[in-house]
Amino acid sequence: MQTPEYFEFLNQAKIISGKKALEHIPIELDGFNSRKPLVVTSKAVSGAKLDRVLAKAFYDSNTIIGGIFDEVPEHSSFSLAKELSILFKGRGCDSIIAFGGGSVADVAKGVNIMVSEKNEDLLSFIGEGKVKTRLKPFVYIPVSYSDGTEMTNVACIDHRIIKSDFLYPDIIAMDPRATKGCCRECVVSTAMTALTHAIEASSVAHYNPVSDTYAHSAIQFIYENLAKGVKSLGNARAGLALANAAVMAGITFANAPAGLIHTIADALSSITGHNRGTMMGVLLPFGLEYKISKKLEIRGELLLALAGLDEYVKTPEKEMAVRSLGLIKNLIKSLKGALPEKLSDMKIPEYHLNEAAKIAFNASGKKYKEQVCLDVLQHAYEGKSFI
Amino acid sequence: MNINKYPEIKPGVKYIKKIYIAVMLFIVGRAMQAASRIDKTIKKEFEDLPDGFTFSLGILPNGPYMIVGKNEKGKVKYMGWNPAGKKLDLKMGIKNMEVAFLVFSFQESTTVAFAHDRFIVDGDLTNALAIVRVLDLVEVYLLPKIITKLAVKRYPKWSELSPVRKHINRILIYVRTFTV
Repeated sequence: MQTPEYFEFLNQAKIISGKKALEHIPIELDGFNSRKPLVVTSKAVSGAKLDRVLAKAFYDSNTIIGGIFDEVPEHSSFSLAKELSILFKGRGCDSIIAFGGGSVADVAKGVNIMVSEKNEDLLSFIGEGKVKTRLKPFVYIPVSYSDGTEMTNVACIDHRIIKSDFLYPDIIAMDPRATKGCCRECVVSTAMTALTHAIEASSVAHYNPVSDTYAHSAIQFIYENLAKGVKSLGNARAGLALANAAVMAGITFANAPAGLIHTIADALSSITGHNRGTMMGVLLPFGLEYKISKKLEIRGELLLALAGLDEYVKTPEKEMAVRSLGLIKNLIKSLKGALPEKLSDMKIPEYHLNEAAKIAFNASGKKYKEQVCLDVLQHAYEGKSFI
Repeated sequence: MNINKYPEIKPGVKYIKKIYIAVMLFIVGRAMQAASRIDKTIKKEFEDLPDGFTFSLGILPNGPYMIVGKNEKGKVKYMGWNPAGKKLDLKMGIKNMEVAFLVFSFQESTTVAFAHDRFIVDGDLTNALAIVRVLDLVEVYLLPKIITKLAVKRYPKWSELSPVRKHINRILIYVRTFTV
């Protein structure tokens, strides 16, 4: 194993995963000297009566739930964060629990900044490194849908980004009752976001052993459990494995620069309004094919994560990238239509591709050339192979 | 925002589980006292602990608890359920009621619960592991094999504990638990 010359990695969260994980939250909060959390969630969670499960998990503890706000919409906003900060202060809360997907976590992070920094002007924190105070204890409870940023150091509110290492959750509690699949599309989108983030984070030029460990575990979990999770949405074991994968991929993604596929999918999703995870799933094989065709490095360890040690040692080094790509394509095929094969199947007008390539070029800080982004997009649109 | 729309939720109490665990802790505590006089292995484990050693096993944060200790003469005694005012050398706490129920309904063995970090130990870890071994053996005596196998790390082989010895000890421990 090569020794890295230099690397950085930060994961602030204590991860609790498995049976009765929710019941561990009160004692973990007690460790932060916190006795009154505010629960922020959405109608999807309360509709599945998971808010009641959470309230019951606090029985026989000394922790009072300051309130359960279950009206976070699909897109977070500054005004909602401000309203929630009033609820937080009015109830005398001392910590925050975000129970749900991306927008729930984003709003909760926004509230946490406002109440910890004692500054109601959340706009003044837009950008990187503007949050200067250690925030109130923040617990994140994942569900079966994730946009891949909940467990990171980023909050995206009203399409504005606030980035700070203080935004990482302190505790991530994954419970099989909460992570059971809600719908095929959600499961596939979450898994594809995680798979793309994990593959791209482990393919960066600078070797980072800790990041690789997280990424490879996430890839392995997805490869082994995605088909099961999609076939049977009630499969608690598969749901928990996919939630673990999403969390690990999210953490590794926060410690690596955004990759080509993430950047393009983000750009196209912002124009068309389609789900970003689904976009990543469609673009992933084409992005990898592009790298193989241009002889850009895809590490052999990707095959190790996907196929295990036996297959890895049997495969010649030169063929590892192609073999990995084959396995990913097989995985997508095994989803039996839960993921479109090409962008044209998503009814995206072709003229959006040029615009998306331009946005991706600018968003990447000119790292990925516009022509490269357009090439990948056009191949993905037509379903045409690079190899 | 009308904050009254989102009321505070005070933690309730799971009475049935709490009573079940309190009864289990009482029986296990009394059985430890009885077994320390009957089983040689348990006797030896307690002999290795210092005289005056007292420990508590309970559910965090509000109980129930069981307190067991050795007096100056080296005799093991069940010392009740209330840790208040007692000098405890070792405090073993299960992190919450639900996990305690998993352990005491034999859905998760004590050793697995330890490995899952479900316990908080305040005191000497070697003493805590000795207590876990004693608990395993007490369960072997108290429960039928089919249930105990779920609750302990390894069920003792015939060579370690013959069935005749086991059944005689079991009767003696039950009699002493509920009488002496």
